[in-house]
Amino acid sequence: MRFNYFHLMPYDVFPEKTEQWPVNNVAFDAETARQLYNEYIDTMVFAEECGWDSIGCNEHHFSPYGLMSNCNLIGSALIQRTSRVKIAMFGNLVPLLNPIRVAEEYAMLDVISGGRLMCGFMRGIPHEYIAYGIPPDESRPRLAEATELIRKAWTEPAPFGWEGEFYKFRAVSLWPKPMQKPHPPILYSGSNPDSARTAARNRTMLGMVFIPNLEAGRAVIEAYLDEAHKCGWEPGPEHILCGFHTCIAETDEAAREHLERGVKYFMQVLMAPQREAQQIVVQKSRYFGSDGAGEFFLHRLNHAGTRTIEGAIEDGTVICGSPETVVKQIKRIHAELGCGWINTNMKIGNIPNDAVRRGMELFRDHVHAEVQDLSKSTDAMPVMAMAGE
Amino acid sequence: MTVKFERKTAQLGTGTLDYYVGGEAGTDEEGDARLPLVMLHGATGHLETEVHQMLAEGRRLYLPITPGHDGTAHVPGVDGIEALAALIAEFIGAEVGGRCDLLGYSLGGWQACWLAINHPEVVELLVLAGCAGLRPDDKGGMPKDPAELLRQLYAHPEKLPEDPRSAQIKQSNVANLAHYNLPEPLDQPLMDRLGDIQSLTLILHGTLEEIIPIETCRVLSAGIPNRYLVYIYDAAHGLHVDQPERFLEVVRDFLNRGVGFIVNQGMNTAAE
Repeated sequence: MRFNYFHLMPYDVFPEKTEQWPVNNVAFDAETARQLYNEYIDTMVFAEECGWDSIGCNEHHFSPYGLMSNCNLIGSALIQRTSRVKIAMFGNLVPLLNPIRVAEEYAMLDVISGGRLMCGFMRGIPHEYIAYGIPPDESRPRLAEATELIRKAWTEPAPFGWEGEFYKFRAVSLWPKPMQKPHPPILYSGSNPDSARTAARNRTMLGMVFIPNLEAGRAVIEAYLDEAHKCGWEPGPEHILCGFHTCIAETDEAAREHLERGVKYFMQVLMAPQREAQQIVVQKSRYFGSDGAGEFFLHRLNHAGTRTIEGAIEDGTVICGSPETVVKQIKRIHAELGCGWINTNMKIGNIPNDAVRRGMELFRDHVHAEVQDLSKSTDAMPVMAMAGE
Repeated sequence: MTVKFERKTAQLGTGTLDYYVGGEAGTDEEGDARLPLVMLHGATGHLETEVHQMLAEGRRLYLPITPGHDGTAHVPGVDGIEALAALIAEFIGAEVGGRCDLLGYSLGGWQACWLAINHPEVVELLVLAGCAGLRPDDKGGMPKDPAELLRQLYAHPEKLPEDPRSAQIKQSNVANLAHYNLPEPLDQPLMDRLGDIQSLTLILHGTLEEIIPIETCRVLSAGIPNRYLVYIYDAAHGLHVDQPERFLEVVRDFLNRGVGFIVNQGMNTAAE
C-alpha cells in the first residue's frame, strides 16, 4: 500500500462565514499567507521522513479553501527539498489552462525531480470554471482533447501542429520533454461511475475522493475496472487511489475532537462560499452528464458535513483515531476497495498544524509499518500507451 | 456561393485525362494571382464534398481523375505510381499553367510525393493528407471487410455527402489499384528519395487514423527537409470529411501564407 500526503493549503485563519463566491479578498493578509505557505511546505517535506510515498497538492481559485492557484509552483519547491518521494500534482485543472503550458510545466517538474512526477489531469470542481471564464459545458471535451494533445506533446519525436476543437497550435516541440518514458503517470479524478469509466478509456490512474461509503466506492472502482477491460487493459491496485480525510492522534477521542473541529470549519467556513457557486454551475450548465451524476454531486455537496464523525468512521469514509484504530481502518479500506494508493488529507480546515505533525509522527512510528505491505504495488506504475503512440 | 465544377478531358501527349475544374483565381496579400490548386483523390475515387467547394473559393481548383477510376479509361503505359505522377505533371504543364500548389490525399498523396520529387518545377506548396505508400512493417492498410473499411475511413460517417456513384463504380475504383502495381505497403524507393522534395510541405494526419499508421508521419517528417506535421483532432483517414472546418482552416492558411501559417493572425487569418 502506498500513501500520498495531500495538502489543500487552506487559509485557515479566514475570520468569517460567507456565502458569496468569489470570496472577498479584503481580509487577505500577505504576511499570514507567507507564513502558511512556508509552514505547509515544511509539513509536506516532513511527510517524506514519515514514510509517505508521495506528496502533493492541487489547484483552486478565488477562495481561502486552498491557496494554490498553480500547484506546480509548490511542486517545484517540494522537489528542491525532497529526494525520494514522488511529487503528486493532483493536479492542474487542465480544461481551464493552456494544455501546452501544462505539458511544459509538468515536463519541467519531472526532469527537475529526476522522474518523480505523478500528473493529475483534473476537470476541477464546477465553480472553478467561473474563475477562468471557461464554459462548464466544455469541461469534458476540453479535458479529452487536452489529454490527447499533452500526450502528443510529451511523446512526439518531431515538431508537430494540432488542429482541434478547442486548441490550435501550429508548431509544438517541448523543451524539456519528461524524464519518465513514455511519460509520467496520469491520474484522472473519478468519484462517480461515469467519471471512472472516462479514466479507464483514457488509460489513466483513477483518483477517488469523498465517497459516501465504501460500497459506493467499490461500485466506482468496478465501473473503472470493467471499462478498462472493455478497452483492453487491466489496471492494477497501483492505478487506484482513494482519498480520505485523515486524523491520527494518541487516542481515538483526541483524533475525533480534532477532526470534528476541522471538518466544521472546513464545511461551514471554507466550503460555504463555493457551495452556492457550484450549485449554480451544476444547475445552469451541462457540467455533468445525464446519468444522474449532477444530482449525486449536489446531494453530496448539500449533505457533506451533516454526518457525524462516528458515522463517517462507521462508513469507512474517513481515517480517524489512534494509530491502532487507523491501522484497522486502512486494512478495512484495502480489503473492501482493493486500492493500491491511499490519499491522506490531514490538514482539514483549521486543525492545528502541530496536531497535524503529531499525527504524521504517529503514522511514521506506529502505522506505516503495519500497512505498507498490504498491496504489493510495483515501483513504477505502468502507463499504457494510447492508440497511435 | 456554390462553385460549379465542370468535367473536362485533357488531351495529353501520353493520353487523355478526365478532370473537374472550378473556382476563380483570387489574389494574395501582394495582389498577385494565387496559384491554382491541384487535388489528387484517394483510392476510393473522387467524391465532391464541402471541402472542394471551400478550397475553390478564391482559387482555381483542378481535380484530375486517376485513369481507370470512376469509369474512366486507362492510359496506355501508365501502370505505375511514378507514371501516374508523370501524367499529372504533364497535365499541370498543359492545362493548369505549368506550376501549382498540390494536395494529395491518401493514394493521391503518394502520387504527389513522386510528382514533387520527379517534377519539382510544377509544384510550389505540397500538402499530404493521410499519405499512402509509406507504411513500415505493414502497419495499417485498407481492411477488406466493407463495414470495417467504412469505420476506419470515417470517424463521423454521418458527415459523408450523398454519393451519386454506383456500387459497381466504387468497387471498380478499389479494384483499379491493381492496375498500378503499387508497391504496398512500403515504397522503399520513395522513402529513399523523400529528401529530394524541395517544396514546403504540410503533412496532415487524423488523430483517429488507422489505415495510415503514425509511423508514416515519422517517415515523412524525417525524410522531407522542409515540412510541418499537423494532427487533425477527432478525424480518421477521411479527415476532410470528418473535420472539414479543421482541415480547411489549416490547409487554406498554409496555401495562403506558406511558412507564415505557423503564426496566429487572429481574426484576420480566415479573411485572407
